[in-house]
Amino acid sequence: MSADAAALEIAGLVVRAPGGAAIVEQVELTVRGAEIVALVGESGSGKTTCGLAALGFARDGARIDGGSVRVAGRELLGLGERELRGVRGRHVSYVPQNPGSALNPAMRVGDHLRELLRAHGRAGDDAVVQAALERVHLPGERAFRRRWPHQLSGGQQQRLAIALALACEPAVAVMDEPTTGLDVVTQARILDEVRRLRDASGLGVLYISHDLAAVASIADRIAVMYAGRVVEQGPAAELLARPCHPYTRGLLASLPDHREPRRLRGIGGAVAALDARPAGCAFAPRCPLASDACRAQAPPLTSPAADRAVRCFHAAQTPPPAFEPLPQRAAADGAALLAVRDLRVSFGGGDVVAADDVGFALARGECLALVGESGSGKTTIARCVAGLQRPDGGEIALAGEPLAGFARGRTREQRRRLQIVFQNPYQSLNPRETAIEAVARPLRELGRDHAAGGRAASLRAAEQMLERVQLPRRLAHSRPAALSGGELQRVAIARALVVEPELLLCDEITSALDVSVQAAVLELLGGLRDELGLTLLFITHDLGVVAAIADRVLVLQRGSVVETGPVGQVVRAPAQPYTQELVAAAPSLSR
Amino acid sequence: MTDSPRPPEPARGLTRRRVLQGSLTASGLLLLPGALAACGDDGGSGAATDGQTVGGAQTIGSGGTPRSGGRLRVGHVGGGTAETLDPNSGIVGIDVARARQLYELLFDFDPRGVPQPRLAESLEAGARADRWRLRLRAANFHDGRPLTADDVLATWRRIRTRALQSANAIAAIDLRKTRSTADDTIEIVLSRPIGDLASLLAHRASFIIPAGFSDFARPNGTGPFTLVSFKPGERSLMRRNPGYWGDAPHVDELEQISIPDSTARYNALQGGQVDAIEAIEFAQARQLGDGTSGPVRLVRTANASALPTYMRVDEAPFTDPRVRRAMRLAVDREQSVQAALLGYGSIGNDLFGKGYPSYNDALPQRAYDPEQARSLLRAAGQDGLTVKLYSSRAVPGMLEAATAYKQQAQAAGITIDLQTVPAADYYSDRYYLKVAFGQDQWSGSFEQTTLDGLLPDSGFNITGWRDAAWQRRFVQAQSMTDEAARNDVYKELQSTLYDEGGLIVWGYVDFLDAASARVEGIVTNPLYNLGYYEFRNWWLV
Amino acid sequence: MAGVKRQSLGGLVARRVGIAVVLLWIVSLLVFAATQVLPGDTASAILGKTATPDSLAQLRAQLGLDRPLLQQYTDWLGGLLHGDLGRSLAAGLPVGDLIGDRVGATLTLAAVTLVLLVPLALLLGVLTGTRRDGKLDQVVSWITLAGVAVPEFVTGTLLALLLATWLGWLPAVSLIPPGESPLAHPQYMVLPVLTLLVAGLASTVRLVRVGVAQAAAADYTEMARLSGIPERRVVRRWVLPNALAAGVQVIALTAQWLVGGIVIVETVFQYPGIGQTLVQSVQSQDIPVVQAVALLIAAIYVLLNLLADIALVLLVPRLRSAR
Repeated sequence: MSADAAALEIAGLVVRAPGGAAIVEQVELTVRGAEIVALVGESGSGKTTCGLAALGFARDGARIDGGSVRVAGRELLGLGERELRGVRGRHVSYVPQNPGSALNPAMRVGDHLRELLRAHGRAGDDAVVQAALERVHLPGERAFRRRWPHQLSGGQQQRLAIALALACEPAVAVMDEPTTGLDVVTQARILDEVRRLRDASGLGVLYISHDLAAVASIADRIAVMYAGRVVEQGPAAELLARPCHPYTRGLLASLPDHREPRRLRGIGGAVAALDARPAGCAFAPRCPLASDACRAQAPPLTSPAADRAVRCFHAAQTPPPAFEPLPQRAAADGAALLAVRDLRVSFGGGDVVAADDVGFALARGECLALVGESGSGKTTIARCVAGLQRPDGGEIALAGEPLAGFARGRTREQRRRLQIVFQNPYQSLNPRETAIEAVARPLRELGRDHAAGGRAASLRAAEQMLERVQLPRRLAHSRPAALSGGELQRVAIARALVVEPELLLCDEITSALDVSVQAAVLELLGGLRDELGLTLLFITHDLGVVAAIADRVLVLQRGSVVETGPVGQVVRAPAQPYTQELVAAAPSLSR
Repeated sequence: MTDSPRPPEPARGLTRRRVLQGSLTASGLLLLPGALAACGDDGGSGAATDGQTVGGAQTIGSGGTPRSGGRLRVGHVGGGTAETLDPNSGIVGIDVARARQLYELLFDFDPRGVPQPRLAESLEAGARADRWRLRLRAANFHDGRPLTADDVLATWRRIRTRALQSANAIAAIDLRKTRSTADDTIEIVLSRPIGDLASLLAHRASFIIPAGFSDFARPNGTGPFTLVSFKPGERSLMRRNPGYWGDAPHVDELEQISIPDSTARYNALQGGQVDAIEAIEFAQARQLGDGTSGPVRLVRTANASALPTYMRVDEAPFTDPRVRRAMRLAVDREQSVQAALLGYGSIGNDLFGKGYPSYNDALPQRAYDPEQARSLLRAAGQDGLTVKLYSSRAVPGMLEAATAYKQQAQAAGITIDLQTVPAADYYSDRYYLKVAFGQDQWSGSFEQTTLDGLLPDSGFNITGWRDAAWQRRFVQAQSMTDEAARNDVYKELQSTLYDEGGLIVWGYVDFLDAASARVEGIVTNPLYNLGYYEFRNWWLV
Repeated sequence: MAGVKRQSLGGLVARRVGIAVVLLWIVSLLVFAATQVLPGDTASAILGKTATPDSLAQLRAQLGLDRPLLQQYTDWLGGLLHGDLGRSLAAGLPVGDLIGDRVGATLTLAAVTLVLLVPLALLLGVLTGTRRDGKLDQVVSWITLAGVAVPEFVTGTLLALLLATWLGWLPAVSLIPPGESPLAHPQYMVLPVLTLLVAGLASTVRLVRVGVAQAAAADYTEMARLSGIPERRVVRRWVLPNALAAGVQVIALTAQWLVGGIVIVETVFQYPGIGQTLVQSVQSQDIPVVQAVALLIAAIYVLLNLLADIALVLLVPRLRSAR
């Protein structure tokens, strides 16, 4: 392949769902050799569909309905299955989002590589397999080759998936959220690996991600997708510094960043469903700059500057991103609302220690973040506080009163004062209950003032609370199935707040949400905090979120407290090596 | 009268085991005489039921000259691993059916219910009917030994000491005083006079075995067949006994196969795997049509067993005879026979023993008369009576009959509250003989059923009958040697029951069997299915 | 989570066997208890109407029914451990002699059925699972749906009606001469085996198909296709091994179902096996036979579970190394 021929060239791509609706259309994308192009968008934007189309593949009855996909100069669309098989894995390869489920559970590590190599007519002997593993910094020895996928760590599984993608030295690899689900440290290492491979082998990478911050450090160029179209693309640094599309700008404003903590601004509204996309610009309903022209027809691709492309009538008017500093909060007073002392929890008869003499205090009005990777014990501690897990030892006191191990041992009043919002709003709401019923229920069970007023009074209070969490009024009588993730989480927050708790425990409440929605939820929570004088215990793995909302942070590793202190101090000048590693690895735009 | 003599065991015998068996073999067979279903000839082929001949004995087949040879294969209901070759212990039908080929009784009931000499040559009564002289015919056991009086005495002793099936039947024989006076002669001494000793000696399980015999696995009887092989619950094979004293069997071999499932049994006959089967279902009988043509024929035995609804005369509201009479008038017998038995039966006149010589057929047939029933109830102060009737599927047709009765009785203003009991529980201690109003199945003559159901020591007094004078009169009749005179008293006793008793005998069900058209010579007998298994008279064409 | 304990395969098998032994002991207790609550009393069932209180007491003593329940149980269990299944009350023969042939006949029927059923189920399951919504899939789906819906005795009766009564091709009833192997009379095995196959295939094909379909739609299979692995290779190395776990469980379930289905089929076709014996001995209250057959069936059941467990552990790598 000639040095300047594009590794991957997608033009005018249209992929349609079985019903005929276009999942993606008019997609133009180019990946050159030794270049990493990030394809960024929120869920449902069509980025995975684009990625698969790069291999001439469409999922679940969808079909590629037009355009062109060229890999190293060769057109894939129109090829038969046999010819496509020769191209897939050989000239263009795919790294899946979740390697845990994409590796064959009944096939050993080495056999994965051997099968692939042989399918493409290459020698699959041990030396080759070993080399392929070692290239991605996996052990190449026999013992490792004979392992089963489930015996690998998440990072190792992802490295194996990358090894597979690179085994036949393709021109381009499509990496579909390859680090989602990995902890930040592993994620950083994988990103380093991808960068290194680009430089070492001249590989072109189409890197699909929902996380602008994560791709900022790796991408040469960035393409932003919204509702099936690439709305903007350009060199990474330029695009991040001067977004031309209002959506890109909105994304940047909603991105939490631990290095530059700032006030988050979410994008109002939600992405339209596939069959309900508006006629004109799909972003128009959420766009502050939208005009009648935007609603009348989709804007064409224009080039506001060299190597930049954007689909917006108002590209020139899009203001540069403006970052507001976080509002200063008065330091919380000394009275501890929640005190945890010497908390100890272990599982499996003591084999696994989830919390080892953990102690902390939470002052009234304060927001404390518990941060750690998966397995650090942060969720176990939260469950103990919530009364869902009985600790082996230690004490948890709310406003000076010790709390029983299990919630059913606590008084109604104690339960009212401590409310919880869970990670997954899809699972934590009863699918048969409307939003307002869900919010009214705890009021009748735990509420103080409304219990006497009966159903009507509790429904009125629930309605007020739904207004407060900014759930559109028309959705109050919808069931969970009709609500989006952000709306569901608002309902969950309303349900927790309606009984006027003093302490709100938030367990990864934004990790299932898109960034623009996450920002809106965090914004809401910050506002409610000021308004109601809430005390927050915030569980998260995301340092950016911590920086955006917390006053103090507690860093956990394998059940022990590593470091604790004010957010600014811990994030800017971490004292412990582990915290330093964590802070360094966390994605940030400003690096 | 604890030592009262007992005639051949009547056919009602619904021990739990038999009921279980019945309920599990879709046709609900009860494995006793009279238990394998039943029949009143409805004016089709064969002899009509005239009330004089038991069951309207009927010869199946086209007749003609008997042919010799071949293997006759018969499908029986079977009794699983409980099947036995001990001729004095067998309870289930197939045991009786096998014993009848290998061994013989002193007397044997003919199709009209009359005991005929078999191993007996003659039986003569003394002056008071408490002493009898029994003479044996010349016959040899399978091992060649001749039959002697000692064999008969040894058999009786065995039955008595081991309390086997026929123990009650020979209970009146005083074995200490009874002795042989010659090789072929026995002087029988009874503990009290009995006029109809031959019927007692015809009891179905009192087969004569050689003295000192114990190896029942290698049968040694005087019967028309000898055993080749036997596996309980599966099959047996027999061969014609060349030394048989009487008319030798027509077939060379006889194979008897246990097929408990009624559908499987029917399929085996349809597919030609067997030549005859006992106990088919009403629906299967209906498929065979009138049963006179085609490759498979229906073998139908009339008046086989009665299906009574019983009322306890000692329990309210049935203590009032007017109520009992009203209940009898409230059943539409013709409709019940159609509804419950699909027509495979005949109507009853509230008495057992229809077709036997002792049956009182001079009494007017009771008919459905709800109006009179209503006025009787009004007179008894029981207008708008409500009663609980216990029923179940333990016997085919039983529940259907109860349901029909419930409807019919409404016209008389009677509300029948139907209590349906699981089949397996119906004859358990919990219900049987415990309820005032229920259903049952009985077979046998008047005198046989009376011993079981109407005397002070009867085990199955379902109606709670306690008429002392009536009971004395019955025992008196038993001692009469003149058959005609004896039957006159029996008939007189029946007319009392007809008016005052606790039975509503609305119908009789037929035995329903089937045979291939290749089989000739079957003569039906109301005691048991398939013509009381007289296979020696059958032949194959 | 960390700290997953590794266990040797031997230890794993030993533990499962231990569980099986305990299970069997519990089953023996249940069987014994259940036979005690069967309605009625053995002695009165044997004596029937001729029973007197004296003869009943005598017979109870003779049968050992007058011993305390606990002693009856320990005597019985002790006999079992020495290979003595007891003595039939009805036939008076050792239970072992009585059911020996029948156990053989039943096992023959089960084995012939399984030998045909398993490959057929796997073949049809794989064919339909890999070509979902194809013609074959639709036809098989409808047939198996019907097979699942119709109970064995109906299937058996219909097959007998069609093949024996109407067409006359096969005997309707399996009248195997006593003491002879069913294999010597293949014509008598056709209908019972066919009935079991129709009923058994229905559920197994569906389950195998689901397993195959799941594996065929799994992320890893899509990944193999995206890697350019040839389709046949994908089926062989990606789909089948992963569907196999489902397959093993299906086969174990089928074998367990067979134990029950055989009781019905033996009755319908008069096949001389233990199922028929069980039904008959329950009717005749022959408790030792009921106990022996029930325990035997339970033992087969437990054994099949054990084998399936072990096979599953051997086949599924995840189960082998984790826990």
